[in-house]
Amino acid sequence: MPDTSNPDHRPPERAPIPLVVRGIRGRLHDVTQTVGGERTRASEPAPPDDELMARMERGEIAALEQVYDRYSALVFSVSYRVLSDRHLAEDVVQEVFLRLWRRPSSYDPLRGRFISWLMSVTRNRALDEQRRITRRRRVEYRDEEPTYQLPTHDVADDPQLGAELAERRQAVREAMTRLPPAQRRVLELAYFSGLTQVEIAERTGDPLGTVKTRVRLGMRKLREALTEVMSDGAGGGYQ
Amino acid sequence: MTPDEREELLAAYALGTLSAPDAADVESLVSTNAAAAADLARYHELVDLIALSVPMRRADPRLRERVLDAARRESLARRVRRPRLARLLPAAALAAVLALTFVWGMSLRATVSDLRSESAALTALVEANAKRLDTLDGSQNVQESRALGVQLATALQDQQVIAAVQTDPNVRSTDFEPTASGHGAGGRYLWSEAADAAVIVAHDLPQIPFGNVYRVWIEDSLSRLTAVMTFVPDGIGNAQVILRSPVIAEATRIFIVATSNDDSDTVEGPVVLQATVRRG
Repeated sequence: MPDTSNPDHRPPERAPIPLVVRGIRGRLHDVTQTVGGERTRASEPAPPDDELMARMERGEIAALEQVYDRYSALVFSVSYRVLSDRHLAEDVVQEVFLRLWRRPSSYDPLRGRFISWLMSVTRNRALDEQRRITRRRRVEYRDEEPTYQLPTHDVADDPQLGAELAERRQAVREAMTRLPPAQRRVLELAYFSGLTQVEIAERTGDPLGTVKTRVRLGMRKLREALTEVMSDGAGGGYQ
Repeated sequence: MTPDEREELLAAYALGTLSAPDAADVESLVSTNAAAAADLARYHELVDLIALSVPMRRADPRLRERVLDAARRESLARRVRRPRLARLLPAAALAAVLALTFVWGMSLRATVSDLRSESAALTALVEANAKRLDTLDGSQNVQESRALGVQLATALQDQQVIAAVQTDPNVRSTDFEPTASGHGAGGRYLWSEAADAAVIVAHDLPQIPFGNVYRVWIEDSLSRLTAVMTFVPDGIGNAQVILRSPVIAEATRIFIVATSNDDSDTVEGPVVLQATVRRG
């Protein structure tokens, strides 16, 4: 649910009009959108991702604008997490959204949720960039945000993401935080650095078997913690 | 395989941390085991959720306008380019062939039965384009655009090979399966013994850095691997390539590998797509 603990938050004069957001699997959620820490009233439901992609297929630049506003912060954040470089991460953002624009049909709703597909495209593109840089500069991995410092709450959560996606993010972050640090680290090295199990073992100095076990246990715990989120249509976004 | 071992493999596969041989084992497992395939789908969903754990950051607000401006420019360029092409007959013919190639490529994603019905039309179009090339051969237009004519002739030759593969009643067809490294990519492999050629159509291949290529490896029944060609997909990850190597007659599996080394004797780089060739 939206964070209303802001001390500057002033209750509305009247009960807020709920913004109806279509849920991930066609279900409708009544949530109240918060923008800039204050509740606002929206008169129209946000268009689902699928609808925006269909409009992009027809060449509507306004649809791209909406998708950008909805997801650019997330795409940038994931890219930045992989690359640790603001300019490179922005390049990835640009490439990802231009790819959407050039070929919106590359997203097939039958194969999964838009947010999952978008995150997959973003991660792959960012990892490609990271590998290119690594080959060129042979730079060492820089883990600017050690996993043990993973915050449990975003101070800069983007209201454009929508309350539902923010709620999903919170659930995932809490689940990740609850993992033992060693298990969380192997998952993050695999996901954000694109390392194989062998490479993770080399980097951490742990035996390969230990890495494999940590991957299995970490994923199992994550799965258990997020079962409700997943079956509820995890990943956020408007479908 | 114990349940723990299976879980370990599926989870690692979804994360993309397996070596190519282990990944191939998982792909073999999920192709025959519906429960494993369902488990893997859940792990993929779980892996995609990990992205949501990142602390939120904001990009430069000016980036929004840069992206939208670039999108507008691309739309405009597409609209402006079309009339110029239409004015140039040879270029238009080439565009027709390329469009045909694209349509054909897309049709490969349909069913094999669809391919049969489309093959006759494709053959007719190839013949029409060949006649058009003959007509153009003596014209001033082609003389002025000799390079374009050569390009068109090459495209037509390729189309003839493609048509020969496609119209072969005994053509063998198999879908490519994406590995963890090629999540979202796909394609089809067709082999015609009569045409002595095979065709690969791939789509949504991950972008590769400048200078890198995709390399096609063929594995025969003795598990020997042979690199048969390299290619670079277009800007949106699509590719259509023709294989004429004698090795294709012995192929049992096809691998498409992203690599920075296009002359190595060993597979270097992640396998992105793979297909198992069924033999009748």
